[in-house]
Amino acid sequence: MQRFLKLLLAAGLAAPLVASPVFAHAFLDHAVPGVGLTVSGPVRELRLWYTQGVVTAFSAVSVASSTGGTIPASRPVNDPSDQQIVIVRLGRALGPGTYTVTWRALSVDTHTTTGTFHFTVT
Amino acid sequence: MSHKASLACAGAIAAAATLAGISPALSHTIVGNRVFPATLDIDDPGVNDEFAVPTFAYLANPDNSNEYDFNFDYAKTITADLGFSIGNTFTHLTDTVKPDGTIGTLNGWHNIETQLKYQLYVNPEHEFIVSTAVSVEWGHTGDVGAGFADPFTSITAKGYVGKGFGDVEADWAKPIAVTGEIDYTWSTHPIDVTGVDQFGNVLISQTPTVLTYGATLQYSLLYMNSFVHEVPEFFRQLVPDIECVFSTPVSNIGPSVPGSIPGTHETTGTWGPGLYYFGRLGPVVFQLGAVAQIPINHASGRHPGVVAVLDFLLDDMFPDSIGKPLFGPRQARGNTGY
Repeated sequence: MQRFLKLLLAAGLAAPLVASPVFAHAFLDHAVPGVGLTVSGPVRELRLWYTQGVVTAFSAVSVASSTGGTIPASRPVNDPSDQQIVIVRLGRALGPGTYTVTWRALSVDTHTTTGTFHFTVT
Repeated sequence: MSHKASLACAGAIAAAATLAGISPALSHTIVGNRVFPATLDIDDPGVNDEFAVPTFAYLANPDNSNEYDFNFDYAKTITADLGFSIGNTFTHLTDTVKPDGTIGTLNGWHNIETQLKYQLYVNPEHEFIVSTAVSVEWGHTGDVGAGFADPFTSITAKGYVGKGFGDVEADWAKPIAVTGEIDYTWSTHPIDVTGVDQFGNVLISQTPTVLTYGATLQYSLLYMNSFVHEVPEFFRQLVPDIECVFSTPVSNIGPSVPGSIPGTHETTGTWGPGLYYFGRLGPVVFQLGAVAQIPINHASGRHPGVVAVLDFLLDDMFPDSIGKPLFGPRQARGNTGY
């Protein structure tokens, strides 16, 4: 039993060394500005890292202010070096306030996922 | 019924209570934005393509033996909502009473178990799923002589439910999910005549029908990271939970036998915290998981044990070959727009 627990502990400690984000469908891994985080402004661009490559031609990202007004933004595009990164350039710099990002991502294996998160600019 | 028959009956009940525990026909499930891990005390509510090699369990049995189980299970989708699985368990028992009456070690295979599972209702928007399954433990396919397998077939009807709370307003509640399973197991040979004693009494062995039920309460850091608040990299791949599973004989139980463990009418079960880690190593996508087995009473074990699994997620590793359904399209597991 003790030997098993040691093995389990070793596996748990080794896991973060060998593993990267998972799942063959596009879940949001992290973003800049970060999910639920507070950042210093101004913010001119969104970067979304997904767990799988995203087909931006069939994906969408929108940003709304706390009053519900939509912030003008470019169509989402992939980072040229990484299809798992989606970039959206904003039509204006975001000032202080809380913003809502709503995204839809079509993964390269044709699964669609959607999500919403908030971030705050100070 | 003779005393000997009663003891045989009690033994059968004890075996049934142990073997009727929910077996790990593993498959993780994705409903909308919710990932339900392949939990260990109960099965998750969906179908998928996975290979578990092995699920390991350590249990301190109430008869002072120590049990080490190694379960192997392969799950395959037939259609997007219909899945088949086949599995078996090898058990290593130490400090146990052997058939010749001595104390020692026993090894053996349980009966082969197959299962057909169907997703009755899937609501991605509300992360809600209801499924049902029928599993068969095929008699005489394991080591009957060593006592690990029954010489008869048992059938189990199963029901599953899963619900994620990503649709509630409160951010703190969005990572929460619950799953549940209820099973009803009956034998194809509920009463066996095992012989006649020196007084001419017929010796019988009764195999009770058993109700098995369990639940999990999950707090998904995967979900929190994507939709509520970013968490550090290692933690965003974790799903901690609390799990429990119980078995209660409900009919064909036979008379009580004083001193028998577990008692003929006794509910057995375990509960404990669990932790699941999703990772990828090159092309290999896997789930590591472990859950404590804290017995609810002496009949369920002498002290806490543990179950652990290494599960290969074939649908994520081979989405265009062995990881997709045999017939029809793949599962539309995500939301379809906003």
